[in-house]
Amino acid sequence: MNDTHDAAGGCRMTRREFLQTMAATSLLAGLPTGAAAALAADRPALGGLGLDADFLSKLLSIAMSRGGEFAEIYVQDALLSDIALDDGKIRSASVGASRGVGVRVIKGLKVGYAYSDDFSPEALRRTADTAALIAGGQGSWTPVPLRPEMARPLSPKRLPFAEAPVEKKTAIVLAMDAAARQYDPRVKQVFGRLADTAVYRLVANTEGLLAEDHDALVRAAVQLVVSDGKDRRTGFFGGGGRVGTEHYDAFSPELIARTAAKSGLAMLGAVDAKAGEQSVVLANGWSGILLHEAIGHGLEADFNRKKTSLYSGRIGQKVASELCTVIDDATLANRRGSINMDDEGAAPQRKVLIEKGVLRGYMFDRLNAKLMGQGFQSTGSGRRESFRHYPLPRMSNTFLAPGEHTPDEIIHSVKKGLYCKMFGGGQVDIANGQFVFEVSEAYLIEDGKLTAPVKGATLIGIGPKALEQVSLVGADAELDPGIGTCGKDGQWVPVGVGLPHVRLDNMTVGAAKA
Amino acid sequence: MEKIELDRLHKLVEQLRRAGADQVDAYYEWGRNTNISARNGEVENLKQAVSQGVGVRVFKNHQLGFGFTSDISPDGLSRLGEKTLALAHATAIDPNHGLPDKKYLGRPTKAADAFDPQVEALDNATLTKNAILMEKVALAADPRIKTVQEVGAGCNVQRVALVNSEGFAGDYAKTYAWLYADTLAEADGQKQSGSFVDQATHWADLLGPEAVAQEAARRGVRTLGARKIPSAQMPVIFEPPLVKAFLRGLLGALNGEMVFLKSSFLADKLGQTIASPLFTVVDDGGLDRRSGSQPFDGEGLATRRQTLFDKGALRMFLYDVHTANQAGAQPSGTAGRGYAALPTIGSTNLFLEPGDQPPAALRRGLDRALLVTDMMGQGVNTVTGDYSRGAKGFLIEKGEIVHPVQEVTVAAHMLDMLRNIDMVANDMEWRGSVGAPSIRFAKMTVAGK
Repeated sequence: MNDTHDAAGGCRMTRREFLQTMAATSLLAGLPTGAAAALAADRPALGGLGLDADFLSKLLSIAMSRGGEFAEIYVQDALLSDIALDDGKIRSASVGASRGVGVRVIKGLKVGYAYSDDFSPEALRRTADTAALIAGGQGSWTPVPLRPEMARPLSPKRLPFAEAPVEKKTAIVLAMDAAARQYDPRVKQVFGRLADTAVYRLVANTEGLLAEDHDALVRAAVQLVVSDGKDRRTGFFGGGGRVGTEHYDAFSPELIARTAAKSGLAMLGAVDAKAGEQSVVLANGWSGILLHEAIGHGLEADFNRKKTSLYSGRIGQKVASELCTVIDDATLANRRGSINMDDEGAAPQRKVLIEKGVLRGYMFDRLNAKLMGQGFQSTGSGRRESFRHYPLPRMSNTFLAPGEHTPDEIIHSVKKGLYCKMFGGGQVDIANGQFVFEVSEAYLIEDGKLTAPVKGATLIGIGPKALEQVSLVGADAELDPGIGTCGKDGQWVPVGVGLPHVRLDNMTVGAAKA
Repeated sequence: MEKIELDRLHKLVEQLRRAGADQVDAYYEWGRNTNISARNGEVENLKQAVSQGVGVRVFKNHQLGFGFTSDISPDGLSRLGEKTLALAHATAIDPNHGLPDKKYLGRPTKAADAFDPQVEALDNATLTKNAILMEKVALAADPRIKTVQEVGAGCNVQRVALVNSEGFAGDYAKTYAWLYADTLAEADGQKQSGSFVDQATHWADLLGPEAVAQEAARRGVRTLGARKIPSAQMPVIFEPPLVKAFLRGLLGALNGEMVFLKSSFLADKLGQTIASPLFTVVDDGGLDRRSGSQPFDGEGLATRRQTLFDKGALRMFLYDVHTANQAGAQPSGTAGRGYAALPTIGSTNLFLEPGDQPPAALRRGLDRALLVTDMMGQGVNTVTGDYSRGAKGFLIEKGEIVHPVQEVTVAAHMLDMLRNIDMVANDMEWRGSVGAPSIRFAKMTVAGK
């Protein structure tokens, strides 16, 4: 808790957004887990929380009693399980419940938000009244009937992790450790993690919505340290999604461990990247972080309503190479960024954001759609980290549509450049569009062939300029394996990204060698 | 502290001891958080909440179970206890698990002052007034400030109690308040954001709304017209916020667990002079009016003052009880904790001792250099020591600022960075639990065109 004071000051710091892999889990520390079978059994249903439609209606009335125009209640009951391994041992197993109620009241541009982790009727009434204060006047609400509706599950699970015994989870983590160590004696240390969340959500609002959803999310990941006595490098891999335990039959602990080990080992003896502008080929999958940072955040509605994005007012204009069609799709089965409903109760959507280089639309939550007017509607992009937060427009699974080239054709086209295979985190500054992301596994391209491994490379650019530099797009579109968590205004939500192989020219590569 | 919470923690610990746990600790946390932002002269967002919870660690047969809940009713805590005890068997048997040795438990004779009754009593009207004023001042600060992205004021009151089965019981309260402004400057088709956050344990220590808004505006305007520069090696100056970030990054390598697991680039450097003689880094949990101050850490160890780097020599690593037992070292009393997570190895108030030069002296005499004012990206690998981050700032030629720079990265190995610090300024800055002045690195690689 100590060093988060500077970063957050309890709130937020800059208009900068992060997407990162392993590091993000530190912010979720202690959350996801599961000796969960026992806890799942007494997970309260709607009635169990004492929140029937009548009581929700009463809370909405209190929320509207000071002149609000719209009020909403968000209920979350999450069961979190987390298994961590290091030095060959299960280091910790934790389980916890994160449940609470958030009440939001809107009047014009003003938003009041209050939350409570105490479900007593008095505490909830007090919470609704605190949120109501924003309106600062008098008002009332004529209750409309709340129509209960369960969100359609996109991702059916055979055996959800929340119902699996804790031994099932520790077995996956131990298997990752064993496989990594068996793969090569140069694997010196292994950090394994399996975190899962089962969450019940309810959204009720003054327009008569009463939406409910059950879903679950899991991620298994391994970070390892390899050394040959002279050089020391790290490797990382992992994945998951809105899946059950059966997901790890094919996407096996051994596969995860071997991929991480290979990536780390390949970097032993790597040469320093050379700093400066060059042609770059991005491998397919997790490299979609480029889109997420270079363009995705800039298309979120809040930045465009406030006209702070580089893409404000540019719908219909060319903002990228015509080879670029960018899609944000929350409706894909099993994916980490997919949602059965958003955190305002809206159905998920597939949105074409950029079509052949032309900007087609932004990603909207309900408040920003209404405030921007012009007939904009929510695109089901209102998401929040938990009941402690109000919703913001966010991405789901963001990816580039495939082109027509094979990866080999793309690599062969480059005389001298950098091939980027695995990536760390990234970040963007919304105002000037400057983005940066780290490359954890890279190779030199010389005369169209991959040669020496390269360490310490960082890519930096300005969003629209970079997307104009896309010169070849592969046919091998692929989403990442389910590892990304995106931070914005201090709220972290799971997302997916994707990209086929692409070639970008004149990219600035940051490195320690001039 | 309400006596009722301490009583409940005692009962929970007792219940688990009776149920067969070897050792138990129970951590209670209560927080009240308010943040108010303004737009167009009115409140834009008002967010307010009170929350609380309990986290419990159970040690049985050298295994560790952890559970947490926000339901702190006697029944809720009793259920939490049962489930946590049942979970302990899932973890490895490790004799290094356990509560701190009794000799470390306790609190200093004089606890630091990190609680301000004025912050506790802050009302929404005061926060609102400050937020609205910041928006007005920021917009008026410069004609190139076209938009205020967000301005706000807020405060946090936190109460903590810890009880363990070795006889420790303690509690404390802390406050902090903040003012922040986030502006957008525009000129010649370029937009630059300028952000500034001020934070202090005591309301009277904040710079005030006018100063915060003006600083945010200045930070936006000053980088307008920024452009890339050619790649080269050159001296690089970091402003204090970036030095603070560098220190936070270094914490990952000073973490005793990473050291024990040979997963830190500092693992084999203890006792060696690896940094510049200008580099002295201290952790001190007992400083008055600093937000990292607290009488005891997340495991109940009394906090104290410790020197991590002494004139460039690496003197110690940071350990919690488990990793100290593992490594045969002393726990550093710097474990962080929140109710919903296990204790983590951290720091209290971490700072770099200032030098005696004014910040402008750092660029004097430099033929060509980069002054870095903002950074982005995570770019710090504490296993290998590789450091590479995106940067904004100013090009310096012949000791003078020439023009703003963006879209470049600065990179070096962290061992080289530590060694190459050749000037430390006197402009010490805190605003939180990490403090540092501006520093100069004799050489880093700047990548641009």
